[in-house]
Amino acid sequence: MTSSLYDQVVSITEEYLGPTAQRFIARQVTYHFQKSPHELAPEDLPRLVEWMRVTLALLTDNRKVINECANRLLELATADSKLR
Amino acid sequence: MGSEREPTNWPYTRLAYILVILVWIAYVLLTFFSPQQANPRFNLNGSIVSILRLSFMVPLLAIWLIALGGVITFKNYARLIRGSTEARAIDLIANGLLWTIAYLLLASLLGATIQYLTSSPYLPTAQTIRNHLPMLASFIGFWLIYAGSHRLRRMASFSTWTWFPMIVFILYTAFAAAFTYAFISSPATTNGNGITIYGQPREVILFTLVLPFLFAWFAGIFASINVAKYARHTKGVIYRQVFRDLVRGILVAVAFGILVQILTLGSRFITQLNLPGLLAVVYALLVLYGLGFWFIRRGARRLTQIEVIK
Repeated sequence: MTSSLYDQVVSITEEYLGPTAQRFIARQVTYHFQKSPHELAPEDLPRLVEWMRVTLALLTDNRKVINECANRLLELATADSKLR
Repeated sequence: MGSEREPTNWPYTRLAYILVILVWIAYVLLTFFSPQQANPRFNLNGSIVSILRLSFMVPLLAIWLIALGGVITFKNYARLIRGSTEARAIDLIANGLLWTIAYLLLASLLGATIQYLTSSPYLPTAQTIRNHLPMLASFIGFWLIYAGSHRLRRMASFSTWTWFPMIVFILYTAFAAAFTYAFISSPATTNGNGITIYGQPREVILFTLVLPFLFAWFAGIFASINVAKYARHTKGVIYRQVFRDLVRGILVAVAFGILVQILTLGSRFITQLNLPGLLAVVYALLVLYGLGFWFIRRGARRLTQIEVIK
């Protein structure tokens, strides 16, 4: 379920962006995918992660943290495709 | 639907800047045209006192404007995240910091004004207002900051009362007791009617001025502890990094704001500190106080970036 995917993405992102995570992800999805955050699909994740790499790089120069966040989000796409 | 957040300015921004500049102009004029006044306590004639004060005028305006700019950036951030769980806490802290700036403005302006009333029958009333209005601003300010920090504490679910805050509490209690004792036992200068130079009997001043200041500083100190703990306990490794500047700024602004007030209150009612030395120390603290607001501005801008970045 895509709402579940959105919640999972927010849950992971919260470990990096704290209370701003939900707003951040919602804005990224709305702006880059022109859709509601709860409509986020697994195939959107790679593009979302790339956008997040760019934006997170503006907030921190800790590449390790950025890569860790990106990899964990990409694993969601892999996990979802396995389930299908 | 995700929310599109655009930066929105605090609607009283322009008014606040105008007010600060007007207060500064009034302060400069009142000081420059002061009918005073030799300061017999420090063996200085009136013109030297005025020159000393005037030499700090431009840096003082810079400090006030930097402080105001920092708080307004912080207020704008609070407006941007309106509706979120942390928005109210952030806004309370920003409002509290505004009131601490109001303390500075009131203390300066009223201190300059009272020199014109030394021979006036309204002097006791003026002294009462001069003493208590800035205190009220400080009291409101620090308690608002504490209220905001308390909300942050609940959000991040931590306890204020661990070992370090307990030590701070004990030390502060000792300081408060010593400060109170020093005030009670310091020599009071009275006029012929038994009214102190403070405009009221010493016992009244103790309960209406000294103790409220002590409670205000207590609130400021524990607000700082809560904000620092929130920065450690809240989720988000990147968020914590970004929040750090804000925390640094709040800690510095509160700490040096309190020190300025302690020094001002202490020198007026307790000690016989040398005036040039005292002024130098107070203004050095004010510079550091302004530095705190510079950090607040920087931190608020970085937090704003998280909210608007696409």
